Amino acid sequence: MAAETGTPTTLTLKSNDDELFSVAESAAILSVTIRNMVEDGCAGGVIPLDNVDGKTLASVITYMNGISAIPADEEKKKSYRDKFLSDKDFETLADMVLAANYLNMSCLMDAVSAKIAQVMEKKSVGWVRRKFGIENDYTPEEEAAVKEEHKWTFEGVETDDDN
Amino acid sequence: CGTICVGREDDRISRLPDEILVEILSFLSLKESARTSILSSRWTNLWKHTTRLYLDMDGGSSLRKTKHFEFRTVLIRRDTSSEYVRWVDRVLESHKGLVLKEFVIRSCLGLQHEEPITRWLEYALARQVHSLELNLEPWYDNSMYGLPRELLVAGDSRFKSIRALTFKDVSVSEKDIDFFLRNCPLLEELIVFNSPALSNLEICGPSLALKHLEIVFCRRLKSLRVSAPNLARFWVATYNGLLVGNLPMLVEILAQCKDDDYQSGCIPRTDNEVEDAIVSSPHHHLKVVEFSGGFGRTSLLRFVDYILENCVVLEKVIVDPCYGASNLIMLDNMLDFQENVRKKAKQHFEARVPQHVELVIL
Repeated sequence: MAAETGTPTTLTLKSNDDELFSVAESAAILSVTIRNMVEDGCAGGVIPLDNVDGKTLASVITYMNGISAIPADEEKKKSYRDKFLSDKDFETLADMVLAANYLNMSCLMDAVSAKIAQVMEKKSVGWVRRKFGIENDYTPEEEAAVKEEHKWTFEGVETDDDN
Repeated sequence: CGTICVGREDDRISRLPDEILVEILSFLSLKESARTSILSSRWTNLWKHTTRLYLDMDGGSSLRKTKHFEFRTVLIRRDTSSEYVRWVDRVLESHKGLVLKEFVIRSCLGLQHEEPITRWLEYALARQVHSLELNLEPWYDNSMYGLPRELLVAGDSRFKSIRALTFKDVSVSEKDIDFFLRNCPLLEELIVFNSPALSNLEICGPSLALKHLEIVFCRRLKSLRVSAPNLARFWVATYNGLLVGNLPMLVEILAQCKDDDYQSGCIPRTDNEVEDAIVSSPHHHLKVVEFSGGFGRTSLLRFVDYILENCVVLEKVIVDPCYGASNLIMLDNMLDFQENVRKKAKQHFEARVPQHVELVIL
């Protein structure tokens, strides 16, 4: 990260539902989207983030502050991320992954994606459909054809239907 | 804040954009990720756009990179090799991604599978692969796969995106490595595990991007010269003929020795013939040094002295003097031998390691 000179700069971020947030520049530039705006000199006033609502942005900022306070120690950062995401429900995770993608924050994006993937891990197709409310829109013939094409994905796999 | 959840929006996950779902799927094994195609028509082709292909013999693990290259034994019957080849071909036929961040081949393959392996490498290179791992484990009666000359064409722009290369049980030569150093300007990580084709290796260059280097179990390696301005982690399994210079960014070094002397059940000899010429240059960042095995060798002792003299910010020295000795089942006095080696190590290091540096003897 670039060395800062003088007093730490604070940025003002605006969510798409017009909430304003102050955040230290050093933490906010974890977002490549924000960093680019800062580098292009567009960060003087308020930075509008049109794709993120206030509730999600507040959460992302908590993450930015938390993770940037940890020195370069990947283990500690990882355990912070795990803890940060541990109590989030799927709706929140979905909002978070969209925000991380829009803000171009690869560390948060990876952590949330991994967390969502974890839910699907070792589960049957039926379980995943029920859990996420995915409607099976295949005709029986279509489904049979897709299953045939992907027969190898069932070899030696034990799925866990009950959790 | 007063907003009530107005009717549960169904199937939120399927409404996420493709790029995000593809990213999520990349955290599953290939098998599991491909299985999502059965969920609904929204999911039919998503997995085919993954940028990470872990083609593991057991169906594609989702193992992410560990700190050091992890030696994993592939427990597979030999008759499944052809099944694996067919499986990889089928996966690559379905795959639709235009770029690949990671491409991993892990199986029991050797020279007899040269044609498919080379074809797969071409596939990955055509998709500007970032991280390439060729992790083979040929059967004892099958020779190792080597990179064919035709594949390595100087100036080929397909190599420009490569950031990480791992070769295990692949016959990689000095020439091949030199090719990669010249043609992969972004190469940050290079791991070579058990290549019999290396004897005198030079990894030198003022503009090398290399940050992580592991040269392990290359039995015919006689000399290794390393000079790379950005190198931070360095794992090497030889002390003989090791020549290091200009490694200003080095923070971690692991020197490991499990040599033939150990394997043949002899107590390591003190080798006076090997002449090391270690270039002296202070390391301002090196904090952790780990020595394993190879005890009693002059080359190791000189290397230890070199490290202690030149590492000004050293915080920790880890010594595993009996590394590799567990194979010494032929030795009746195994425990005595280990105890003796440990005692020698303790004496040697305690006399040399300064007080403020933490010394751990395993």
